Amino acid sequence: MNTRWIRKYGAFARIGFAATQAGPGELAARVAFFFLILGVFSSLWRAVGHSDSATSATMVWYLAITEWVLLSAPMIQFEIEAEVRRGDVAYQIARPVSYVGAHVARAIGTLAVRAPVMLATAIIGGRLFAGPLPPAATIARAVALGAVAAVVMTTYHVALGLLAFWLGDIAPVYWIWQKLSFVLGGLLLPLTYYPAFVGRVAAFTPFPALLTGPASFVLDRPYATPMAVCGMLALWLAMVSIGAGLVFRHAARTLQLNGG
Amino acid sequence: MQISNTQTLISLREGRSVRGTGRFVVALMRTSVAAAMAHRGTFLMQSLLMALNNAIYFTFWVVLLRRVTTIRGYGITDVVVLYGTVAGGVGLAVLLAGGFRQLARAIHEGELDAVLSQPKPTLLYVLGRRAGASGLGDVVFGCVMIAIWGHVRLSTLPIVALAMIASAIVMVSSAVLFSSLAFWLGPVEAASRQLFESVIMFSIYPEPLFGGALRLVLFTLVPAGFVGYVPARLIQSPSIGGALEMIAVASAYAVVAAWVFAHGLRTYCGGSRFELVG
Repeated sequence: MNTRWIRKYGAFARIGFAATQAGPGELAARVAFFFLILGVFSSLWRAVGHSDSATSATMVWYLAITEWVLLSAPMIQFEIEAEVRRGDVAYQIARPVSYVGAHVARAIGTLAVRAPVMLATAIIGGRLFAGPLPPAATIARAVALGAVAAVVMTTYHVALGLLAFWLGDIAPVYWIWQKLSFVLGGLLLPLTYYPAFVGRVAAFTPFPALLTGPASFVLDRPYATPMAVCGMLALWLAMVSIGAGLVFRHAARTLQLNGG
Repeated sequence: MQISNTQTLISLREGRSVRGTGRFVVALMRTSVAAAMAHRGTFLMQSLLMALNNAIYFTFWVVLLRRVTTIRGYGITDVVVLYGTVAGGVGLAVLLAGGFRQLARAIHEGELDAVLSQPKPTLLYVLGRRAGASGLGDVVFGCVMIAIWGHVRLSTLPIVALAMIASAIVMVSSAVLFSSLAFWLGPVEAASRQLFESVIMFSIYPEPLFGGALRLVLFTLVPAGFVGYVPARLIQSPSIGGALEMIAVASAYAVVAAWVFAHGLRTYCGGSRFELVG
């Protein structure tokens, strides 16, 4: 049963992997954009100079990790939205696989191509714009937890995509999600830079575990210990998996009613 | 028969007057904005969420500039004007010429077929037929930011409007230039979108951060300078000379973009699409 399950969803992951490899243009554009962001922010941090707890170099390394997680996670939500809009979802849910599981597996296939390329970009860009790499143990911690965070973020993207069953256009919801991740996740600035209440609010959301959690290991004061970040990621993964399952079950029922 | 049809088309195109094209542009924009507003609830929600989206992002500058006061001479008021100008420009571009967002795909996938036989300029048609509802949110946010800055007088309001319109024209022109690469290179949608986003990205960061060769790029190929820095400077220090400079730059970018698009159109291979255009 387990082998069949792995084979089934593994096939979806392979489709995502192959499809991403077949379109190197988008990956190249993401790499260029990543370099651009690191270039802009290295100029900004050099202009700002040293701050209380971080040098401009560590701030660039911090950004390299947060952006690596963010840019690696596939935008699968817009594919789900398009399927709902076109009506393709009607024949997809009839397949003997979970619609949500298949999309998560396919997105993980995409992530498997994208994450290593973006990580290489982060390291080359960081080396170029910030200087020497942080200690190997620090990088290892940030990369290991960042990879898990990218998978969790991908699952959140799938859950966001499911909202298309009700909203039709999920772009505005995604903008808010994206900008909340900027602030509450500490994408550009570590959470310690924000007023204390922002940190308190962020603690009740998945964003710190997804971005600042893994990236803050390159700073003097990490957001939490590796075990704590791991625990937070597991908790938020469980929450989104249950939530996505419930949302889809409800959506599928509504769809059947509409279909007659 | 085919030849006479083509000749009719050519004579129609040659015969169009500037005033007629102007009327067409206004009518097209009005129709496409009305279409976007047909679902009023969605339209308002998208506008509101876009304004909220901008406000959340702006907290980055508030937090940063509370710590360091200025970045190479740029204080919070400069960033407020810069951000307001670019938001206003993006909003006008998306609201009135929203078709630029799908232009690369339209060229590559043969979607221009349906508009090629129209008697008015193809580029104007493609740009003006898809208004983006979120643009209104950007425009409102931009105006609020300029109002927060607090140095706009009634007499300088036309300068603010000019700066935002010119910023929008340069923005749309650069998007047309990037998207036109699809005529020769094929599937460049992702690359052209990233290039366009880099124009926006560079334009909302303080000008003194960028020097050397990059600065030259920011005033030519990736015209962030003319999307953000120059119009923002015009708003902060209004002058006739500055206004004329901005008009000249926006016109030049628009002419180059239209010329490149027209040349690309000669190499265009249709997708044999059947589509209703109205």
